[in-house]
Amino acid sequence: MNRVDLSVSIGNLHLSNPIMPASGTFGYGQEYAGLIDLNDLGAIVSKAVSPLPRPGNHPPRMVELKGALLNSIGLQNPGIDGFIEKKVPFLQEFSPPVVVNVVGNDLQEYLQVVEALDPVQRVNGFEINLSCPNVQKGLEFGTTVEGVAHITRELRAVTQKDLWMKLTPTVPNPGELGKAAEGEGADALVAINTIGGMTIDAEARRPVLGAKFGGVSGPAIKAVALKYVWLLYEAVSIPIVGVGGIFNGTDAIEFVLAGATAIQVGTANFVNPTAMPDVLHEIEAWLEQHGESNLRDLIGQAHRTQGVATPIQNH
Amino acid sequence: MIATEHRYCQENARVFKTRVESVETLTEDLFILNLVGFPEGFDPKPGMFLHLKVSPDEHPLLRRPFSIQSFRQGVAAILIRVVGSGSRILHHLQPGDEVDTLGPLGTTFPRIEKGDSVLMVGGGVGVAPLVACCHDASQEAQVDFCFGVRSRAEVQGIEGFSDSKNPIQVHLSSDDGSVGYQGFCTDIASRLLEEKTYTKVFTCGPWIMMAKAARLAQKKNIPFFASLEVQMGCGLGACLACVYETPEGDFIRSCIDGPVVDGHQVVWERT
Ligand SMILES: Cc1cc2nc3c(=O)[nH]c(=O)nc-3n(C[C@H](O)[C@H](O)[C@H](O)COP(=O)(O)OP(=O)(O)OC[C@H]3O[C@@H](n4cnc5c(N)ncnc54)[C@H](O)[C@@H]3O)c2cc1C
Ligand SMILES: Cc1cc2nc3c(=O)[nH]c(=O)nc-3n(C[C@H](O)[C@H](O)[C@H](O)COP(=O)(O)O)c2cc1C
Ligand code: FES
Repeated sequence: MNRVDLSVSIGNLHLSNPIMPASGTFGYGQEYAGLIDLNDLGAIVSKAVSPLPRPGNHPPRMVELKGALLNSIGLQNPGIDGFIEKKVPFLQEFSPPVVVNVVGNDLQEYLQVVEALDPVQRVNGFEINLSCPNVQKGLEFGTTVEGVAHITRELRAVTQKDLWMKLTPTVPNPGELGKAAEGEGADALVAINTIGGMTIDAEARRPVLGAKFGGVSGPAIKAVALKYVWLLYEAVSIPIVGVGGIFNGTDAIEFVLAGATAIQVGTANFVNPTAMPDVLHEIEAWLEQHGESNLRDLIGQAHRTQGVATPIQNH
Repeated sequence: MIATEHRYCQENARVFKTRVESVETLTEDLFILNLVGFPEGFDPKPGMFLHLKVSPDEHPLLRRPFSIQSFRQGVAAILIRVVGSGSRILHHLQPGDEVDTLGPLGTTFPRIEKGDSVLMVGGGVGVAPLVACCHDASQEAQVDFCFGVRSRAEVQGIEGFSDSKNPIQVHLSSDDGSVGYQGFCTDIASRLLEEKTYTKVFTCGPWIMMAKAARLAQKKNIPFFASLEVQMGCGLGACLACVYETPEGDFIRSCIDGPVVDGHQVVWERT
């Protein structure tokens, strides 16, 4: 038995712990099944599903930057039918809730995916990808209060299953967008997605990525993600799932202190295939070391801590 | 196993710590890294690779893929060209240093069986998986191994192949003429293809060289296996970074459905 209680609730879902993969960094679970026990995860978040299969962008699709990655995978996925035929049977073998990441070119496509997968028993919820810096049209819903409210309302009308809105990072008013989603019945907010960027090969005098632009992820975006989570926590009362540059237990604790109820591990999975169980054990150890028995007590605690941080000592 | 169907996961892959046994410097930018400390049952097949986290730091962030040139008596030899920060860090490792290792990964070349007559075209560090195939080949097969290097100092891994009982004939070529024929190894391959009949062609090396080998194999309609060195992320089939394009316009993951693939199913022309 665990000495510390790591369980958390998000909407109707009860998670045995707060750790789950960030969409697109864990396939549909199969690829990691030989290296970690999927039953140890709090939830399984799938790679994006769009109505029809998507081939993805032309390579090169990934470049390494200092402390970060830039990717333009282009949401390559097998579509609704491919997901049901090839991925759901595999997911049946495991117990954590399954949350399907949904993308579309327009509102109709988002509705199509959610309506098609709503009756699938193994699917417990939907994570709506409102920002895809590497796909042109996803953006408009994601950047305005009206857009976020509209898509949340429409999706809420077609499913009773959990609805998580994954917000786009490049907006001036995260709190307002979060409130808009909450007001229309979203069960949770997920923040953040990758941040748009590019890189140029000076010798070749052209962009490195086949798709020119991509999304930045990894340690370098952690500070941006933390602030976003912080602002959402001040604005909404539904749970927030924090994601962006989480590589270890302390990173995860920082997100919880900023206001996250659960956390997603993305890029770290590529670097260390056992990153998720490792982060989980590190959270547990951190709580024990600090005399805490329940992770939930720490959610948003940094907002309530009085005074200033101890100055850093130079040794 | 060759990539004819999409694989589910890298079945035998594990994450573990290996240790540097030695680093043998061959030239200014070429060295052999010998690793030990592999787990029980570790059994890489020719063409498979290791995905190494060269430093625990955040830079370089991703693992780096390297073919296993040989795995004998618990020692894995890896032939490495210094091209950037990751390979440079590996070059500076000292005996006893630990390396965070993921593997074995990927598909393999078909085994060279009795009666096979195989033409190999390998350039630079691309010879590594081909050398592994030679170690594994049936003594009753015949192999012509066209091996292109920059200079004499880069010739390695083929010690013992010159033994007359051995079925492997090495045909060296070098950029500077310091060893073997001065020119491209594909020139030798082209000539051999006119003279002899082969059951298979294997290749690994620079893309341009493999593309030339592809045209040769296509012309003669010979089964053709290429080990692709596409830049990778996870190495596990999850990130979809490492794809190559097929003539049907599909994007296939080279880490898990490759790196050894049916070379006739690759779009070799690059824009
Ligand atoms: C399956 C596989 C097997 C490989 N086997 C070997 C091997 O046995 N020996 C060996 O020396 N190298 C091998 N490589 C290539 C090796 O992985 C790269 O050279 C290495 O990752 C470069 O890392 P770096 O940090 O030193 O260079 P970086 O700083 O990452 O890159 C420096 C330069 O090298 C180029 N580069 C990076 N990765 C690759 C790549 N995969 N292919 C071609 N160019 C690249 C970059 O575009 C850049 O111009 C293999 C690659 C793959 C995919
Ligand atoms: C290769 C790659 C693919 C991704 N694919 C998706 C996706 O399909 N849907 C999505 O909502 N987010 C996707 N993301 C974004 C991640 O889920 C996550 O929000 C982002 O990477 C930040 O977290 P990290 O820094 O831990 O990686 C992807 C990220 C990467 C690196
Ligand atoms: S490297 Fe991630 S899918 Fe191949």
